[in-house]
Amino acid sequence: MLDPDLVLAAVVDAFQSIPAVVSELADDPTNIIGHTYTYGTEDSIARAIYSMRSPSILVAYLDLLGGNFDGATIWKHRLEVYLRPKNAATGVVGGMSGVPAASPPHVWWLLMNSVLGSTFQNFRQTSLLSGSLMLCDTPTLKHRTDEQGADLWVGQLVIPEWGDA
Amino acid sequence: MSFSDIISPATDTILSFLGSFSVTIHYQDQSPDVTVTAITKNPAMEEDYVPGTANPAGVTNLLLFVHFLPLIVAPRKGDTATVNGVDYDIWQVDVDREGGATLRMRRRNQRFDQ
Repeated sequence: MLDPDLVLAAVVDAFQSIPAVVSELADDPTNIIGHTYTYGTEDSIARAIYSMRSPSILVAYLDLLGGNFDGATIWKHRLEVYLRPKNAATGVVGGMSGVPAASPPHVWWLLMNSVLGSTFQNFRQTSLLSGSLMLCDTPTLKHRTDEQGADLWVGQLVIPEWGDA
Repeated sequence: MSFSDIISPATDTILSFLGSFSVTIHYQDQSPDVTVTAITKNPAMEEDYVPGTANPAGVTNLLLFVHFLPLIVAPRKGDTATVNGVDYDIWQVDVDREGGATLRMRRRNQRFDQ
């Protein structure tokens, strides 16, 4: 049973290692943020989503699902990824002569299809935490409307744990 | 006298008494910047700090009421703005029928010109 905070940190680290994604986030990997549930000092998740600056990505741990899924998997970690892209009207990616900033669905595509750091594998092909996590289930991207009526795209991840790691 | 004629001075009058911010609009088409007086409106959720402060943990969402009609170049979605040295994206412009507008803005993680 892996610590949810450890799983969250591993996903954030993986995303921060993707150069194409960091380029879309003002060249700053710290604009990819993991949401923690520290009572007293942390915003609620709703407030954290509302307060996301542009560009940024917020990764939140949602559920630790327990059950006898296939005889070998008894834990699944569920996370959501909230995408606030760069202003495409003024922001360019890759310097002054760069291209306009990408749409949120494209940023999600970059997250799921770009190779991580110095590896040759993308997020969907990688077992995080030295193999303690299995490959993620097929990821989902959904559209929502936020509290102000603006578009908000949310990626959903379910990552099974290898046995009872 | 029509309602519009009666109400037309209202925006300037209200802004002159209640306007508490100067907002500088940076146009995406490189038109010259414009600075106007604005009034803050209540957002969907309130945040930890006073709108317009440069505190690193300051507000992300800002709704500013401005007199839209006199602006030579009307602000539009995608323009950027600066309030007290803090840069925002204008992601929506809600124009009323009498020459005023609310600029819905989200704080940027980069300077307005980057």
